[in-house]
Amino acid sequence: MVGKEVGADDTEREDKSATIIHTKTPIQVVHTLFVVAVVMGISLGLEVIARSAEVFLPWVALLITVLIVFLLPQIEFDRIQPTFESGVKGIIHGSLSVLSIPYMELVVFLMIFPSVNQPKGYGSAFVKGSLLGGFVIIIVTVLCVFVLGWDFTARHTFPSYTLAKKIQVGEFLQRIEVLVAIIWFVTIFYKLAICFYASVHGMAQLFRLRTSRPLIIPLAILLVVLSIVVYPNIVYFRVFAAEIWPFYAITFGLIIPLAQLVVSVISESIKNGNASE
Amino acid sequence: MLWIAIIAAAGAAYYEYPKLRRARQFKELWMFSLLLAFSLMLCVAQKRHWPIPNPLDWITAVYKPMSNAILSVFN
Repeated sequence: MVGKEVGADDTEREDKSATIIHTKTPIQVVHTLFVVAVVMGISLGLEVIARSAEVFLPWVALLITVLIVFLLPQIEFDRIQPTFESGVKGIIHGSLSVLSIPYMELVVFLMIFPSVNQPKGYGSAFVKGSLLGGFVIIIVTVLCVFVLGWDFTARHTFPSYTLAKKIQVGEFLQRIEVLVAIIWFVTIFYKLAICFYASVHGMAQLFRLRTSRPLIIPLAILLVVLSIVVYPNIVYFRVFAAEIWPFYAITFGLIIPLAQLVVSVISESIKNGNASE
Repeated sequence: MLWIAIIAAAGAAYYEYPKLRRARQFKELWMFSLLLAFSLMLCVAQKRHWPIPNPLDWITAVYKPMSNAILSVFN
């Protein structure tokens, strides 16, 4: 079990599946299978990925709803205590990781916007999607605290998986934690596909290539190797994610886009000023 | 792992090289070959358990002072 915790994906935490479900499978095999699926999706194009996401989204929503409904009987409101124990500083420190892991990573969607064929609605769709995602994060966190208690939640690597183990409806519906694993597989596939698409097309644009297709296979091999190399062990991963990743993510997710926005606004206004004179 | 990578690389080269050659996209061809060679080298290095530098160590080296300064405010 501990040995299989070694290594995780560069962009994704595929070690969830390797650590909890496929405990005897070498982690490279899990990564390779996942990357093969992603490569197939990416070489078919962005539209195929978007359409398949339309197919899978209702299932993920259904599974999350099942998880929430079956956990409702387990809620004990006493477990919310202690609240505001560490004050404002502690709350800001805790929200730093929530800010960085899903929200600063949304910058990767900027790579997809140029290929959206309905240029009107994508801004509001982006905001709606991130709000919905944040809502799910809040619900799962609240359930974790109310069902497991804050100490268990803090101690587990994947509290939502432990949460699903708690489901017990009558004597017949229990140990359905693989539902959470299915949610992970589906959602991680899309996250990895979008990140991989962004890296392939970003590299093609960086070197001004006319086609990005030749880069897919070399970058996929690179991804599988790096997925083992970048996180030598789970402690390294947790320290990196807690201490370094928020600042790294803010650089790319907030500061650089903001600087580009400011520069574009300034250059636009200079252009307009020259035109009106 | 290495064999899967080699088969995938050979397949990609067999499939992409004639197309790129015919379209005279030599920059793309160079990029493809260099990247493929680099990733296969990394594969071999991993198979042989040679030390591979970790890119996250470099990121850590850059961001550590900033992270220390800001996180010390919260503690």
